[in-house]
Amino acid sequence: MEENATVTDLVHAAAGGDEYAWNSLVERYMPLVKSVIRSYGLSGQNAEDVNQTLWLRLVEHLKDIREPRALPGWITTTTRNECAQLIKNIRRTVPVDVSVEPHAMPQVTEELDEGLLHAERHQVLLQALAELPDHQRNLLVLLVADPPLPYAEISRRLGIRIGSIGPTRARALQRLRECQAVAALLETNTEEIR
Amino acid sequence: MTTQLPDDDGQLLGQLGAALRSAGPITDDDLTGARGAFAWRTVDDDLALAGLVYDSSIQERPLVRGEVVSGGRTLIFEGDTISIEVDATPDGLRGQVVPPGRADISLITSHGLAGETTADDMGWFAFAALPSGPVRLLCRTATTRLATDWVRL
Repeated sequence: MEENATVTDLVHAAAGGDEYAWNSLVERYMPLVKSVIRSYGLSGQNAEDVNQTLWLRLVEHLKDIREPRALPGWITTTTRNECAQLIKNIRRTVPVDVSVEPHAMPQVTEELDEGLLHAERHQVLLQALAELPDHQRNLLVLLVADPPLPYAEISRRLGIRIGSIGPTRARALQRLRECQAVAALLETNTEEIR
Repeated sequence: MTTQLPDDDGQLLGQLGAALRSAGPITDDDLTGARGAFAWRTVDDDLALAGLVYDSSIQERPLVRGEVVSGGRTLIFEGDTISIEVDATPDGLRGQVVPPGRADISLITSHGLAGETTADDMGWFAFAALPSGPVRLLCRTATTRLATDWVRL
């Protein structure tokens, strides 16, 4: 699988048995999956179970995802459903569970709405990031590292010239804005406004 | 809240950083587990997949076929020719192959085989203990072999 493989290429290759393509999908979409899980306030064993279930199920559904562009939506929806089901189950069987952090389930509606908006925006950005080619994605991830990394260090880690970091950063961010996940979010919000 | 992403590169990068931090640290265990899921890929053309089509803990549905309300969680997996209905309670798992008939049933976790049993002439089968983490059932009848979707019980 070449470095510039698109998500579509990766889904087709993984469905055909290419483990390298599968590993690449895992690396690209793991931040999205974990962000969704954490937005439900799940951690520890519960979070691990949802995470593992998602990937096991995706392996068997690669063949069904006829339009690989639907992958980010499939991942997000399936993870959300699993989290919602697990929380419902916890509430039914265990009155108090320490693995559901109380502060992650705000009582105030306003706070919840704001939390959901943040979570949605995070997830759209992570979907968009997953679609970038490796060299752009890796650069953006290093650029937002906390604590920040000097350009010299980034240059060393990625094996690229310091002078190319700025232009690659600009192209990667432009591509992020143009990505289909972002376009879909803008479309949805425009419809809601109408 | 504005829906446009910022035109300013610095601001957009800031939002991206917040999004990545919302995922928390990605551990080696996370990646190893997810990569390992590929080993469970069904490569056998004769093995059909029965997808999860109903989960009582998520959806409501009208009762059918004079069924009894179990008090547990009901799941239905549907394949092309066979479906499997299961009731999961803290005491274990009880299920039925539909249309009813004899079948070998295996309970699988991501670590491997967790139990085996045989469904009777009416398709009924049971497992006394529920493993933690994701599980699936494998079902072999005289004519068909199928695997269910992975679920947590």
